[in-house]
Amino acid sequence: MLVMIVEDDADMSELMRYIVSGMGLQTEQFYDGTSAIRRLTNLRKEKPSLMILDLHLPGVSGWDIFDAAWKLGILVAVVTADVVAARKFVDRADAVFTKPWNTMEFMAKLTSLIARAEVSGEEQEGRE
Amino acid sequence: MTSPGYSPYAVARFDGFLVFSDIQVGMVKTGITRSPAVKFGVVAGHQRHPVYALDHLALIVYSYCLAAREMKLDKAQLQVSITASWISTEQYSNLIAVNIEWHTAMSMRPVSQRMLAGLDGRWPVNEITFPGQRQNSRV
Repeated sequence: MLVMIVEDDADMSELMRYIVSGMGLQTEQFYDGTSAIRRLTNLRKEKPSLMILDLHLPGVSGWDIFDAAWKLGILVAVVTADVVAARKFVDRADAVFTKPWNTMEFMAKLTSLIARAEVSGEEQEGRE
Repeated sequence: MTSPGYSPYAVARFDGFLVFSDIQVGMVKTGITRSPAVKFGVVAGHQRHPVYALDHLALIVYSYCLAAREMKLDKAQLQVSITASWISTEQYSNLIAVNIEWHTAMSMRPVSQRMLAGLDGRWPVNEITFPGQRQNSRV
C-alpha cells in the first residue's frame, strides 16, 4: 500500500515517513504542490491509497491537491498548522490533524484508514 | 500487502470469543475530530486481550454485540478471528483492529445489519482514550 506524503517542511516530512514506513507502508515524499499534482496525474504509476497532506505548499495549493486526490478516491489525512483552514476540512477530509499532533492518535487513525483502504483496495473508483 | 498472509508491520492475528457483554463504546480523539470507537475484549485461551476498533469497524463490532445480546447468545458464542495492528510508543502498546472475521450463525447477520442501520446518528459520545494517549508527546 502506497502513501503519498505531501509536506514542504523536510523535517516534518521525514518524521511522517518514519512513522508511516514503520507501519510497513510504502511512502513517496513530495515537498511542493506541483510535483504532487504531477504524481497524481501520472496514471502509469501505482495509485496511492492514502495521502498525508499539508495545506500550505509552494506551487499548487493543498486545496487543489486535496480536490484532485479526492476525485481519484484516495483517502486524505490533512495535517496542518493552520487551525482555521483545518476546520474547513472537518467534513471533507478522512482525517484532520493540526500540528503539533499526538503520535498515538495519528497512528490509530492511520490504522483505521489503512483498514478502510484495504477493504476497498480492489475498487479503483473516484469520488464525486 | 506483498503476499497473502504477510504483513511487514506488526500485526497480531488470533482467534477467540468477543466479550459482547462488556464493551466500551464512545468516541476517541483523533486530531481535531473524534472518531467512533469501541474497546472490547477477546478471550483467547486463558487470556483476555483488549482491542480497539475505530470508525466503520467500530460500528460493525457494536452492532454484532447488540445482536448477540438481543439473541441472548451464551458468552462464548461470538467467535471471531481478529487481525489487529500494534501501535506503540516507548511505553504503551495498543491493538487496533484492522479486520474481523465473524464465525457466527447465519441468522445473526440480518440482526446485526438491522442494529447497524439503527445506529444512524445515535452513537454514544462519551470519551474513550488509549492507554498512553494523554501522556504521549506531540510532534
